[in-house]
Amino acid sequence: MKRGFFFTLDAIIAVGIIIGGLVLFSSFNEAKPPVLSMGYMSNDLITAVGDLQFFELGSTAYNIIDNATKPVDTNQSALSVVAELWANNDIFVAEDLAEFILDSNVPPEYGVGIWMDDELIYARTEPVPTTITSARKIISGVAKSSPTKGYVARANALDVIKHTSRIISFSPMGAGWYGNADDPGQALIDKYFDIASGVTISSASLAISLHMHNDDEDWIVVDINNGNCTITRDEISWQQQSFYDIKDVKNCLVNGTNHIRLDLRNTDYNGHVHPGMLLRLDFDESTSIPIYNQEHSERFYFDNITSILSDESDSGVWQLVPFHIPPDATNTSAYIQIVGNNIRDYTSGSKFYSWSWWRKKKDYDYILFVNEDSPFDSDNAPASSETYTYSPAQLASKLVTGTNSVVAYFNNYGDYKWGDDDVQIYSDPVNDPNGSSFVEVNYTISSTVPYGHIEITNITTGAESPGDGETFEDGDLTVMFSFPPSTIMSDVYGHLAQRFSYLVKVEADDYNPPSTSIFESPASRAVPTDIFVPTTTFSNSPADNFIRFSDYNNNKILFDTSIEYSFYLPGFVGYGNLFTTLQGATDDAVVRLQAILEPYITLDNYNVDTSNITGVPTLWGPTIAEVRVWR
Amino acid sequence: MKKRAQAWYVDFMVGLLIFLLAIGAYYIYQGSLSEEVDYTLNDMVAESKGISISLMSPGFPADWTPADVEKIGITDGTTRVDYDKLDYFSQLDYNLTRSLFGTSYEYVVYFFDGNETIIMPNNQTYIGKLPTNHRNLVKITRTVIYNSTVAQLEVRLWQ
Repeated sequence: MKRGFFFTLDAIIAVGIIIGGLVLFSSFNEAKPPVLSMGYMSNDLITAVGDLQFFELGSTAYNIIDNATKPVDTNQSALSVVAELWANNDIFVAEDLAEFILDSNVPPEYGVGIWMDDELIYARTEPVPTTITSARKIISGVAKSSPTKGYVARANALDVIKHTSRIISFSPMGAGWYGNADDPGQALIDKYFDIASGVTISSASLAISLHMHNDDEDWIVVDINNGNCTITRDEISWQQQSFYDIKDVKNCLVNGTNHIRLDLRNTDYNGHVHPGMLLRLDFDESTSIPIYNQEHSERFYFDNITSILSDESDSGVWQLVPFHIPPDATNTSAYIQIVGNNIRDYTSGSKFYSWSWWRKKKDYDYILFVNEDSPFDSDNAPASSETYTYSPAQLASKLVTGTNSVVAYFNNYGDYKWGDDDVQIYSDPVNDPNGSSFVEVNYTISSTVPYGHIEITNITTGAESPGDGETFEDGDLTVMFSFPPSTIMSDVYGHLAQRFSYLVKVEADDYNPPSTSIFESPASRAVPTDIFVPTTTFSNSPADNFIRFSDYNNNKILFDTSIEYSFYLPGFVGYGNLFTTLQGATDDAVVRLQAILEPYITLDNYNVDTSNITGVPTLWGPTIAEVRVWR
Repeated sequence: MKKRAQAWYVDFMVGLLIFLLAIGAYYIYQGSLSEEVDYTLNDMVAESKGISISLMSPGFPADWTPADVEKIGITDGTTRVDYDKLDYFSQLDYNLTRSLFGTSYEYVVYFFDGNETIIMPNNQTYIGKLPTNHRNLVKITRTVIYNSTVAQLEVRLWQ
């Protein structure tokens, strides 16, 4: 009995343990509902706050933003308003609004916060995060400390005063053979040029580079505007028969047509102009914004030159006229007209007996060279007055890109002369332009300057003391220059200055020593004062550019050798920063315009366009809004 | 004295054996049950995500009605709840909605504003079937704009 009871009790205890264990283990596996929202919560929340319009938030939200220091645009999403408050540095108002939007609407078991460009706007302190998810959204038109609405302005110049320069050159030419002090052979040269009515000259210097005799009586060599200013031979510095000097002629010039007469005499040889004879003008010019055409047409007039016969010697004249064709020119054509007067038809045929090749053909009373050492045309039986014309078809094969040289001779060549009257290359561009001697060049350039740009010309010369990029060997000079920042390159010319000249070579590059060959004299004395240098060899600011001049006979290249470089400045500025006031935006646009024009241009009249960008996305930002959710 | 001690020892051994067998059988059973639960929960999670994504969409057609619905969505394409679509959803036959959601499980959908249950325009507090004696339940919460307020859409899937 006792044993049976004992066994039953054991069984009951064992069964109880088993049942208890099963119940216990079963309870461990009761599934609690998993929560799968963390990944979605941050993405959904930032999207919803971005979709929710501010006005939907009701009066409480309006009351909150009433505390802002600057008004905000309420016609946008709640998220954008928070961003704008942050951008306006109304951080506490942004915090209050973010709390209002998020705090009562996100379950308390979640932590939630909002950041702008990693700057905390608002975040719950509870719960302590163990798992964090984040979502970001780009908000354009908002940037910290930048207003999101207001005014922008752009400005463009209408009328300006350019502070620019110009070189009017005398190319080599000559006549005035022998004679004596009482009856000298003379070269009378007449140059005409215009100075526009809107020009105010700040400085004008005449570089005189002449070959004349240095004895006998003094005479007036330079006469500007019919006696307005005169310069005599003895007033010009000289070495041997080379006269070189620079004279201030500012007060000699007038607005309108100007006339410079040169009277060159040389009782030992002939009087002629050396490379480097030029007039440099620095001036202010009132002008409107020009429009630059792709079609280009220009006449290069000869100067009128007359060889005054002396009783003791013969006469003869020669003159070089350079012109240039840019590298990107198409449809290029040239027309040449040479008018000679008082020409002698010389027939003895003995002048060139000691020479060779074509020169043995002797009595060429008229010889024309076009870019070559062989005559392009000649005439051994001219009438007293002749007009020689050359069509574009005749000249087409002779034209070259860069500097072209046309040299005309009447009754002389080299050191030989045989004229028996006052031989003349006729030119009067003021009163008789179509009857004058000239070269007319036409071409099309493929790219034109964008509208609104203003051309400025600067001039730099070789330095008197050694410096970077400049050498001082006789017959070799390198000049350095740079284009100003933010400009478009225009034309570049080298203006050679020499006392004596034979054959010169010009090289250019944006490194030193330059090695790209630009020009070589095609014939003796074919050394133009103006040498066109294509800009393809140069680089924009801040690069230094170099032009090297060298003379094959080591004739000295003077330090007054100059570089005339032109460039285009933009006459406009685009929309700038956003300003809260119209006046602020306008003032800013004008200041920016003046900044890009100075010191080359003074603004005279301008136009300002303003735009009110309220409600329009701007180029501010973007700002990255971030919502973080955690548990 | 000897016999009684021996009898207790045998009883103890038999009882212990029975106990260990019972424990072993339980674990064998419980192991297979756990694998089954894991598979089920994963399946329910995937389907609850699918249902929430469907509801967060405009549905198909975009302006669907109970007559032509092919996919149930209750928003206007943003996170904003379209009340007409919500009303249509509430009117659809429950088993039809399960079919359109492509689920064999039961579901119920709530809206909360913070911790407060939102009462829908038709005075309903939920759409679907409330859990009763469920073995497994998963829930997923999405954020929507309901009545110009940031609110939570909660989908509960159960069996």
